[in-house]
Amino acid sequence: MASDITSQQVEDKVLRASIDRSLRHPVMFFFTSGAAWLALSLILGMVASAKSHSPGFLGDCGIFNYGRVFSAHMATFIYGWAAQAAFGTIIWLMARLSRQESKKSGVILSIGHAWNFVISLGSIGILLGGGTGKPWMYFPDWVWPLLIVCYFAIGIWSVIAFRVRRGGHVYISQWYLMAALFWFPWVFLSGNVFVNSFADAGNGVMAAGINAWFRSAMFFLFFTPVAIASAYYIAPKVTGRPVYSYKLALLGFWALAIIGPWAGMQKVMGAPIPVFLQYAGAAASILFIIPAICVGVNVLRTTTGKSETVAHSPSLRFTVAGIIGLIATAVVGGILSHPDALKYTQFAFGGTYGYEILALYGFFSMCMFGAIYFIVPRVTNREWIAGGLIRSHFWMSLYGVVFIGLFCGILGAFMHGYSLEALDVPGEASEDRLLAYTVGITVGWIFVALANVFFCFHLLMMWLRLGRRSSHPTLLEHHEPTLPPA
Amino acid sequence: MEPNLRDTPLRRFNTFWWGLALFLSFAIAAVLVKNAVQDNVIDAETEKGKVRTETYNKIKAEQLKERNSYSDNGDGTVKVKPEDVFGLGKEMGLLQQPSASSMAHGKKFN
Amino acid sequence: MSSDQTPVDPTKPDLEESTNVAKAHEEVTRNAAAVSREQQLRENGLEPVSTWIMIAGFIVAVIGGGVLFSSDSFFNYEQSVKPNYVRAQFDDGKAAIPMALAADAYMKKGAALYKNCASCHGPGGAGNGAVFPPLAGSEWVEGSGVVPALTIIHGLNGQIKVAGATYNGAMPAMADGWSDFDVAALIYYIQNSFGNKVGQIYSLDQIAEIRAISKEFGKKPMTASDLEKYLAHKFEAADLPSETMLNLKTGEVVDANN
Repeated sequence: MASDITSQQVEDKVLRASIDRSLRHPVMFFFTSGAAWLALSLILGMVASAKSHSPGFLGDCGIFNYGRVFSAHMATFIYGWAAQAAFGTIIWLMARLSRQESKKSGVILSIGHAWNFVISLGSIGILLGGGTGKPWMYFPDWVWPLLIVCYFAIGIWSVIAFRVRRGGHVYISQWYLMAALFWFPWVFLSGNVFVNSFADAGNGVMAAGINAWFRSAMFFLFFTPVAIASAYYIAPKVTGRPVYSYKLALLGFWALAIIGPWAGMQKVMGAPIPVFLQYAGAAASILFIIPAICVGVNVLRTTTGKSETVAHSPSLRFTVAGIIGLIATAVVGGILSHPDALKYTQFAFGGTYGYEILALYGFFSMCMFGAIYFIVPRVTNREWIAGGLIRSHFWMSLYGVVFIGLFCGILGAFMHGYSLEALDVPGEASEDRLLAYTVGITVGWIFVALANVFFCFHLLMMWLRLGRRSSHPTLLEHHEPTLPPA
Repeated sequence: MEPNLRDTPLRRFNTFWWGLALFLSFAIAAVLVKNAVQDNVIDAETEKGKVRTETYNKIKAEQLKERNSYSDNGDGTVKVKPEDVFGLGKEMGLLQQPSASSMAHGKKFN
Repeated sequence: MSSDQTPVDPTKPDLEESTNVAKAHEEVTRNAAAVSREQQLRENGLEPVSTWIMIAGFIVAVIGGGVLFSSDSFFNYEQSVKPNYVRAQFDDGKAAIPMALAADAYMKKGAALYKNCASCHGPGGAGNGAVFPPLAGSEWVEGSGVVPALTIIHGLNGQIKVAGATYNGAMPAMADGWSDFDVAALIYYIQNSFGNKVGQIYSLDQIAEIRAISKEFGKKPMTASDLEKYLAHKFEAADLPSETMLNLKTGEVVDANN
């Protein structure tokens, strides 16, 4: 056995191990604090959801007003969990693919702490009433400059790692990571500068339009590429197969790059902003199905025939679920954004919130969980403690997100929209119609929160280095011993 | 492991600053584009707002002058400007010159 | 270190002359177990883009393109309203105002407003015995419309004789914040329900006249003697002809030629 191992392979392993070791602290910090923010966000989400159908829940305290709790829920979900999971994945993945040990782990860790501190202050600010109320920009005005400065100090090292990479090959994941690293500051700065800084001097309508664009672009141009990069890494890695088609990957990447930036303004269709922007947004949201199909087919074809691996490996299972979530998000998004459907879904509860949850949890978070289940054992040199915890996490998350995203997202959007459109019926009727879906969302969140309990606990154990010391990975299926025929 | 010819301090330095510049360029571009494109139209709302603000400030200043200003001492008493009290009292003929009391004081003054 | 398929590279020397590869491997396996069992990323597959994907992409592109071109204007920063986007009830392509014959409009609106009155005067306008006078067959209702209008606007105090019985009135002012259309509708309704048949279709100008009279009384509640003066009041403005169409929302006359 030992003779099969070549010096080249051992070198590779030593390098990988040293990269992982160098990144242990920042990556674990990002993932663990991200998971904690996810837990907080889910609690806030449940409160917000309960408030929307039972306003008396938790009494009259100002902090628990729907507007504040919901804003805090989304803000902590996006910037507390999603952004940090993305950062952890980006720095580790870029380091691995560029075969560069990270020398700036200390800096990244400190900036990670700063990010968390700023978000904590921002979330408290929202709950105390200082939030701006602008979707995806809920934090008080002074937060976003601090966040972008933190990002500079986190992202630049991965850019450097890419530029000084070893070897000639550029992996597909690296395309997406580099793109995400530059798209994030573009989207974040443009969105915040125009909406928060220029809005007073400019135009409230412009601010609404650009905010709508910001929501879409943050998802399409930052979260999506990071999740896709993770999928393009984990699928071939865990199955041991090459990525199915290079050409398809190329097509998918450039399709995303061209289509992604246009989407978003269909959310303000009917507003007095130039008409072509609204329709371009709608078209782009529909056309997003193309890169989604390309990535989906590519990743899923990479894993065909290896269904056992998909079933056994936690990271691969979550990733595949996430990619299916990507296709679902794209199709649902396309349906909701078609101008004929926009009439119903534009202001509907499910058309905005349900879709965002499907996108951020059903696709992005599932891919990130896959990445986390892959990265953490490598970075902590311990295996996950119990496959049962991972399995519970998986199934509860799946139930929750399918329930919220598809049932409440689509059905809720159209039902709410139909009843809003019925002009001769009082507004309360539409709220009554919505009751089932908001209760549904509360239930869905409860599932997801339970899933997250398992996940957080598990991750915490790993962070405390209480994982299993073993050379055998934690897999999700038991190998039943085959009985000899009687 | 063959030496990584790409990994030079110069390249790192370069990438660092060019990367930061690129990150920041989006904000700079936003500001430049906005200044270039924005026509400075006189906004009726803003103009009316200025008039309103002026009126508001004027009235507020006048009201402030009228208002009795006092500060709370915290122990149930307040400190008042003499003109606020004596002016009115004088008008109403309520004030007299303080005169020495002939009664014995029970208190000692510090 | 590129991801080439051949794992063995005979040109590369061992890590160090003195290092035992097997021993190094064991160390790695012990210290970084997960890493040591990782597979290497391989060269990407060269499958061509499948036709099905092209077809699916084409269908999506057609739908998306259709949406894009339905805006009718590209990079036109001047156009901010899409023609015919406004949500309205379309009737042969022309946005229609909800309208009805004046009498019907008044009856419909008046019936809705009468719910405010039904608690005292009864749903059939029969009143409530000794306390609330009836509206059915009431001489105060069957006179000029000024009388019920003033009663509704100001309320009523004091004794009043209705249909042979005497009532001690204490009616509050009901019409706070009501529009002229509301007042016209309710008095028309009262005058044409419960067996009453006055039939006069009030115009908003006539209601304006009533408002002018009402102003003279300030906020005072009416008394029977005040009202008596107006039982035979003749309006200066004309009634509405019965074929007039009224806007169901505002009560204004809809010009049939528009």
